[in-house]
Amino acid sequence: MKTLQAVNLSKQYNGTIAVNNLNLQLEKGEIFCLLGQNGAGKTTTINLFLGFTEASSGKSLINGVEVLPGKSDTKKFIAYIPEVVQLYGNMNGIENLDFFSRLAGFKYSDEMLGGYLSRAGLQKEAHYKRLSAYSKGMRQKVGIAIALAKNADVILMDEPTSGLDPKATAEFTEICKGLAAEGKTIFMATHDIFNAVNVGTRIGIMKQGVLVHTISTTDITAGELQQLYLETI
Amino acid sequence: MTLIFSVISIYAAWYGSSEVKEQQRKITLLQDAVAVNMNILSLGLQQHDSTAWEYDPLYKTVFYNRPDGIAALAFGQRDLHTFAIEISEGTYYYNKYATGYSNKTLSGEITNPQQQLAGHLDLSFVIVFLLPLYFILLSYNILSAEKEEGTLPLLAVQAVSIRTIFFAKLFVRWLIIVMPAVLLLLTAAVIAGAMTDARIFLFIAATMLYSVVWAGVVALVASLRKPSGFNALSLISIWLAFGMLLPAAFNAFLSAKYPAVNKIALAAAVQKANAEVFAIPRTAVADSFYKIHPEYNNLPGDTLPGGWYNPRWIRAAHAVLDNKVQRVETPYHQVLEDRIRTAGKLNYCSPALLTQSILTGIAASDSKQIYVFDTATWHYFKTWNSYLDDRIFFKNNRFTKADFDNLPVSTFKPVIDYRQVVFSLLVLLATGLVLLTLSFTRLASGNFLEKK
Repeated sequence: MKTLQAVNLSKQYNGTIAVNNLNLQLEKGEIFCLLGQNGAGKTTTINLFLGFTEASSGKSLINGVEVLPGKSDTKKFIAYIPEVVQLYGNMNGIENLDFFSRLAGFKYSDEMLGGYLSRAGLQKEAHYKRLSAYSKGMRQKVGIAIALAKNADVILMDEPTSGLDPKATAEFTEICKGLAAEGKTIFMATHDIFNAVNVGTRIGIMKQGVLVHTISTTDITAGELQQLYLETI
Repeated sequence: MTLIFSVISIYAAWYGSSEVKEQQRKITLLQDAVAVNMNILSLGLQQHDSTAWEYDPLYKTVFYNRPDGIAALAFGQRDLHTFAIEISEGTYYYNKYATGYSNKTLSGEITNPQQQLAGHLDLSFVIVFLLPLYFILLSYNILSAEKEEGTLPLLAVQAVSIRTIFFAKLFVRWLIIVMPAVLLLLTAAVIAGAMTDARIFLFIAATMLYSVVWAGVVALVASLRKPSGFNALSLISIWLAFGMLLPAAFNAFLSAKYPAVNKIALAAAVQKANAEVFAIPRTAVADSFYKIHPEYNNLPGDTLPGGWYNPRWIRAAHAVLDNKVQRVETPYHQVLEDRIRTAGKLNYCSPALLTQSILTGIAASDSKQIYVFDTATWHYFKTWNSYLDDRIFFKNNRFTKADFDNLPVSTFKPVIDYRQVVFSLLVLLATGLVLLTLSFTRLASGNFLEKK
């Protein structure tokens, strides 16, 4: 089943093409890693899928439903983990997760909320600490817990491992693989070629808004991907 | 912040209450002083009837605009105007505009000019000026802070729309403002002894609806989707415009178009009339007096050597004096009525002014009531003197105990225009709803994270 689709999707900002005629289809359980330089159009692509920005032409669909800015029809299917997960500093991890879960329409017990945080890799002793005391990695884990608690079909991630230490990145990779095994579709914009090969099922390379290559990770090594990437950009 | 707001409100309630009690105390003092006179008269009249020259300076009563407890919540202009006046034989205008030798207005009722300049802190001031400021402080960045602190993207992907989240947060802040305000109003009513006065509910309604208007203003500014700094500056500017700039501009306009009563000119007119009336022959005074009161013409005793006897002459001179000055004052009354009417219309331009007018209107502390009291005082003065004229001065009757017992009694009771109050409340509600609907519509369109 196609969970995430882009059909002739384009976006222009003041005459500059950010995404150019993107066509893409992701299945359940896929992890798609989008590589590209800064300004290549990765974040704009994610924003188009999230409905944060309106397409200049073409369309994006989640579970077959067209994404339209300002409309909430596709929001129940998606979760989002930005590069920096900003949460409410005056609330603890449990409270933040509870707040966002309620907004998503879920009411969980503290025990269940704690379970999601633990599954996201956040140590138990941090659950009741204020977010203002959290590191970037810890915040990222709460962001993952929010996505887990929402039980969304599609998870969009914008450079989620940026700034994380290797251990945290490895933990994050395992969580992503686990989610994919459960049938979740993950679309991840990243600069990390080696992690992309490690976690992804398919990899795309974007240049000036154009998806130049789409490669299955079974067909390429990290070294080959690096070579291709450097040649492409 | 809530604590500071509460402390100021309680102080304002106490201050308003103390002002009301002070006016009530002064009225009681004056009533007691007059009662002593009247007891002497009553005792004397039990012995024998009186004549004009025997007791006339003692015939006095007090006409007053007694503030009730609710006035403590909106003291308005009560401290700037006469709230109690002795009514007795004599001239009304001499005592109104020049230093009188009888019928003195209450000594000490005129407020310290410095205090007049600074104004008074009553609860209506807190509601009209400080409550919106508190609302602005709490809510200027409801939406913008989410964007600036980076939480907006995570909110934007939830099933609940940003607009719903915004209005939910706005409603919570409205409750944070309104609930303590209602409690403070009830507390103030207890302090002022007005707990059983149903008008407190109108005060509460006005406060809640005024807050709805400010919720609408906050929402409309938020719907522009600008940074917090812009929102704060815009809202403070609107607060200044509604609460200070527009009232100052309207006041300047009203003062230019409808000049206030020129008390110096009227005092001069009184002095002039007084000098004239006592300088001319008594027969000339009689001629003038009979033009005003033809029913008293050709009275027995008018042919006595030297014309009228003294009390009749003095009374007639006072009546002539009042008649002269009334002609000078009447145009000012028209100007004042026009000013009050125009000010009432201008109030609709500012929710702050409209709310202030509602609160002072409910508490009968507005300039309209003060004008009505002034007019009622003049009518009572005329009724009182007409009664004495008929029985003592111009019909040569003896003043009996029965006459004493039937002296005219008049109690001023402010007439509150509840239709006007309700209409103004509906205007506040409509303004708030229009602003909220407009911002609701604006917040529906486009995307909160769209790059421009």
